[in-house]
Amino acid sequence: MTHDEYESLSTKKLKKLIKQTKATLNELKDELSKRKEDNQHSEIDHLEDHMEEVEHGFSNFMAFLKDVLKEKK
Amino acid sequence: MSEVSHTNSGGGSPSQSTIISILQWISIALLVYLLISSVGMIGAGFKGATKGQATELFQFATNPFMGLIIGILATAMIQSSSTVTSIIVGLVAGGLPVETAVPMIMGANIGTTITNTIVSLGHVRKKKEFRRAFASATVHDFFNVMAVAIFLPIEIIFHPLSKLGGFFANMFVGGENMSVKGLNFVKPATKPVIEMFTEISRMISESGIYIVLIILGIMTIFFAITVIGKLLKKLMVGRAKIIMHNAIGKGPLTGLFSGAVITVLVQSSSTTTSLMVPLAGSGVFRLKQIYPFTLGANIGTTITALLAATAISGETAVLALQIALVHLFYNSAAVVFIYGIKNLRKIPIRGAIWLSRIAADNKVVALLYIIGVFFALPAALIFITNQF
Repeated sequence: MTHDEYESLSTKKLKKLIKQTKATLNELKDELSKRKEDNQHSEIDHLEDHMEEVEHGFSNFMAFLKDVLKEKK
Repeated sequence: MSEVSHTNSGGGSPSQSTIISILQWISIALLVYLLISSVGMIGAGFKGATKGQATELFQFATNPFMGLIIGILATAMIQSSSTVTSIIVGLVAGGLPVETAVPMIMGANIGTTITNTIVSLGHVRKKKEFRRAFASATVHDFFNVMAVAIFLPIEIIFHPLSKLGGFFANMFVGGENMSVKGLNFVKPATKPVIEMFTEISRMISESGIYIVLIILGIMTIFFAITVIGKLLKKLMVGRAKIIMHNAIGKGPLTGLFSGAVITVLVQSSSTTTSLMVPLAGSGVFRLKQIYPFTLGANIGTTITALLAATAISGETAVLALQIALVHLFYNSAAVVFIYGIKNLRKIPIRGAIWLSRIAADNKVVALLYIIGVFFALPAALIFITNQF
């Protein structure tokens, strides 16, 4: 909608639109936060894999060293 | 929400998994007994070796910065603050002055942060992921260094942590009221193991019996804590998942509490803080959400020293409990003070973000940071302290 189109709206209609937009914005925010939380839940479902990762500290360090040396060459 | 029991590591029948689970819990009980006994061994060995001259022997560590460095280096090398704090409890029981031990405990807090920093290096291949992972690891470093910078000078001048620890330790095991002296069954229970190890030490070296006993005690603590950690990881991963699922969408206090509970369950702050690294690296969890979890781990880890303090009876029991309580009060006070004040709370986050950006652009910085903070700087400080 352009500015001219807004001007043609009544104040009552404008207030109604604002209310609707606010409600839609809240719904969108809720949906976004729900999706974020769903992603977090699904990441936590892989906690066993992350536990495994914790065990590989030394190999992680060695891989990192190789990477750094490769980058420097 | 999925609640999967992961006690069955072998994938056998339900009855088999129950038997395995029971055996694992029995092993943990035996290892805790061994841990408590080994703290007693260190106490007895140290008392025997120093013949009441512990203060003179640890004269070099009366400089609080030296104590701090010892704590950092020892923990960074063996990557277990639980082991180091348990050893410190044993040493205090053997005569190491509490005021010498307090900076060591603070140093152990810094030293333990190396583990999750190393874990974060595993994300090095993907720049953004590495930046997030490295920030989630180093926020713990920044917080712990900041805690030392604030609380060590205060402790040196006014001794509030030692006084508070001493007050409660006296209340629990030293005074007439609320004393658990009459209930102390630990000494007779651990006596056979300590005697057995004393005999082994005598067989190894008649003249150096107490030194050998201390070494055996340290090795046993390390073994017990390592195996307990491995078993608890398997047994408690399901419980940890439930706690973390429940913490999602709730405030930082829930995160803090969850981090503390998970650390108590797995008996390792390194495990809890390292677990947060891949969660942050993936981008699913934000640094602000990870931060309270890692602080909770600081509080949860103090349970091991408290457990170790139960090994000590007699006149030094108060001192052993005092240093264990100092660990608890220090970590709790650091969280309340730094995390409780908005402007202070932001500093570790800003520091971690700043460092991770630099490290993601130039990986050598990450390497230099680890070597510098955990090894080179403490070593240089030891050198400087010895010169003056």
